[in-house]
This record gives sequence, structure tokens and C-alpha cells, in this order.
Amino acid sequence: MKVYVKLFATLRDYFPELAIGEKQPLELPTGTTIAFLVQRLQLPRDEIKLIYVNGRLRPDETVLQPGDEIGLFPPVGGG
Amino acid sequence: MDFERYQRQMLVKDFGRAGQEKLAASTALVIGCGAVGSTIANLLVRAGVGRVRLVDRDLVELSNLPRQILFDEEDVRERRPKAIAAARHLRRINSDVQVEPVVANVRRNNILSLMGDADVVLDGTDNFPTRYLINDAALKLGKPWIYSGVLATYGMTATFVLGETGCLRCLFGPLDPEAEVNAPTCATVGVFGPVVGVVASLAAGEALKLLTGLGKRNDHLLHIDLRDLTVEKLPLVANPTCPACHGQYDYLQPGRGYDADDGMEEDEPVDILCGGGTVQIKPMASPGEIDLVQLSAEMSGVVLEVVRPELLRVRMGDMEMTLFPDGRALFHGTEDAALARRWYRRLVQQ
Repeated sequence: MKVYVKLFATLRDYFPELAIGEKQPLELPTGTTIAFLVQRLQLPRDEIKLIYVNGRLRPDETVLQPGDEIGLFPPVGGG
Repeated sequence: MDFERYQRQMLVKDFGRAGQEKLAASTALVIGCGAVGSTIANLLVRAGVGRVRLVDRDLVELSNLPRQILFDEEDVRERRPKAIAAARHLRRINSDVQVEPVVANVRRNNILSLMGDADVVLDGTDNFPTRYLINDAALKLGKPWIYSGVLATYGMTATFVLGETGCLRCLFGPLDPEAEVNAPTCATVGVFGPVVGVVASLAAGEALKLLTGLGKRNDHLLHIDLRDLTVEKLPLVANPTCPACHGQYDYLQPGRGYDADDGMEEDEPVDILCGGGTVQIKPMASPGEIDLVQLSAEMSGVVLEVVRPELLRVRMGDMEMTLFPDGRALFHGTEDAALARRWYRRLVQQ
């Protein structure tokens, strides 16, 4: 199945060829969870604070559906 | 009160004289007076919020000036505490407003009294341990508060209202001490000045709206990145199992948040501040109020000045120490914590 991933802020450094918020299409096995997706992209889990699927905040064990749009955000701490 | 200067603001539909009177009768607390905090304070004071309390622990440094709009080169030369320098500028901008500078770390032992009479609380801090503390205190006292964070070219802001939006902990879960240590900061990834203005202006706008009843509140987490200009509106959710929303204020308890195992313990005497070139020393146990004038007499020869009753300055070669009455000291011109600690023992704990 195909899903779309959007990386924000410092997470984009792992895929510098992507523009911010640009959807990265990804082919994944049916039944894939958010946790597996994060592993597959080799993103450090502790740098990700918020995971939104189709605009809703979702936990790691959420099973993804075809066409899902996943937004990954680190916290923003400076001031 | 003479509202002549606010004429353009009062012309705004649904703002009017009634809105201006509400602002004049309101108190805002701004915690942290760096880039975001000083931009927020500037907007609130110009808009005519009756009382604005500014809390910050740092001194103005040259690297602040590109984005911290209330400070100038004289503040850097005079090494003024940010809260004091901001208040000086703000009083000249609007003498109708009661500006209350507080030079202090915000901790569980002072946050409730700082927040007690505030109608709205704004986050100008640069770290999450303080934000979790603000969140707990705001929930406990039933105060609306506005989170803002900026880094590099991006920023986030959200408005939390008790019982309506969920809270910071609903959104981000419990404080993660390990992630905190490795998290990017303004000292590692920098800050693009204009994003400060964007995020801080949104936050100040939310505060003015809350105080006057104008328009509709921001009920999302906004994530804005100026690099490719993206704006994400992410729904806020209340977590039904959030301890803070159920009256369990973990970060107001000893052993959590700033004095938890996050590398920045309250009892740990040395803390290296973001900004570089400065070491902060906090005493293990509060020594009580230090009489800086008396101490300066004992240090005759090395003392630069006593800016009574706020601070004492001492020069040691290339290094300069600023000591506050609560025993906290900032060492400028070094990042050698051990060296700073030795000087602290010799000068203050003798």
C-alpha cells in the first residue's frame, strides 16, 4: 500500500532532498504501524514528538491505511 | 483614563472602547524575556494591557540583539538583566502600563505566586521543563496560557484553556528528560529573526483576544516554517487519561521537572546556559537573601559595581561574575564550569 510522509523542522535533515512539508510517497506492507514506519525511515524516535495521521494525533501502534498522510514533528523548544 | 493613543485599535470592529477598558483592567504574565518574550511584551504594553509582569533570569548579550527587539547596545554594555532592561524600554513606550520586572528563575516555589493575579500567561521560555511547570501551575490556578516555541526557521504556538482544549501534557505526553538533553536549541540550530515575530505576534494576538473577547481563539497547534513557507494547523486533543487535567500536578512536586533527572536539577549547583560563554551557578541550598552591599564591602578591590538591590558585579581577569541576592551567579566569558564553581566558592560561599 502507498502512504505519504511529511517531515517537519529538524526531521527534514534526514531527507534533505525533500522540501518542508512535501509529501514523500512510500510503499509499505499492509498492516504497517507508525512504529514500523519510523524504523523503516531510520528516524530517531526520541526526536519525534508529535505524529499526526490525516490531521489527527495518533499513537505509535496505529495501523496505517492506504493513502494515509503522516506528519512527523519534533518539539520546538527555543524562545 | 485617556484612551486617545488607542484610537486606531479601538476602531477595530468588535474591539472598541469596551475592549480597551478590559485590557486596562487586565494583568498578563510573560515568562521568559528573550526573543519571543520581548516581542510579546512589546505588543502587550503598546496595546495597553494594564499590568505586564516580565520574568527572566538572564542578562542582555550582544548575540541577543538581532532578534530581541526590546534591547540595545547600551543594555549589553551595562549587562542589564533582561527583565529590567525590557521594563526600562517599555515604560518609555507606554507609561500607562504598570510594568513589573522580576529577575528570577521560574521554579515550583515561585510560579504560583507569580501567576496568582494574572489573567493570561504567555510562554517566552526556551525550555520544556519550565513549560511543564507553567502548564501545571496554569491548570491548578485555572489560567489560560499560550505556548510558543521557535528554532531555526520554524515555530509552534498553541492556546490552552482549562477544560476546553486539553493541555501541553495532553499534546506532548510527560516530559522526556533524555530527549531534552539532546534537543536542538537556539545555540545549536540558530534562530531566523522573522519567525520570532510571526510566532510571538500570534501569541500576543491570542492573549489580547482572550482578554477582550475579540474573535475566535486559536484551537489548533500551529506549526509555521518560514523556510518554504508552510503553515500546518494541527487539532488539539484532550487526553482523557492526562494526569495534569485530573488535578495531578507532577511538575509542581519536588523531584520532577527542573529538579528531576533532566540534567538541570534544582539541587545541582552548575547549569550551563544556552547562549554560550556563560556559566550559571545556583546554590545547593538557598542561602537566604544575600546582602550584596555588605558582600561588596568584603570584596573591595574586585567589585565593579553594585546595582542595588538587584545585582553585584565582580571582575576576575577576563571573566565577570554577576551575583543576585538569591545566591544565583552568572559567570560571563567562560564555559568552564569547574573554574566558575571554584570562584563561586571563594567569593560567595567563603
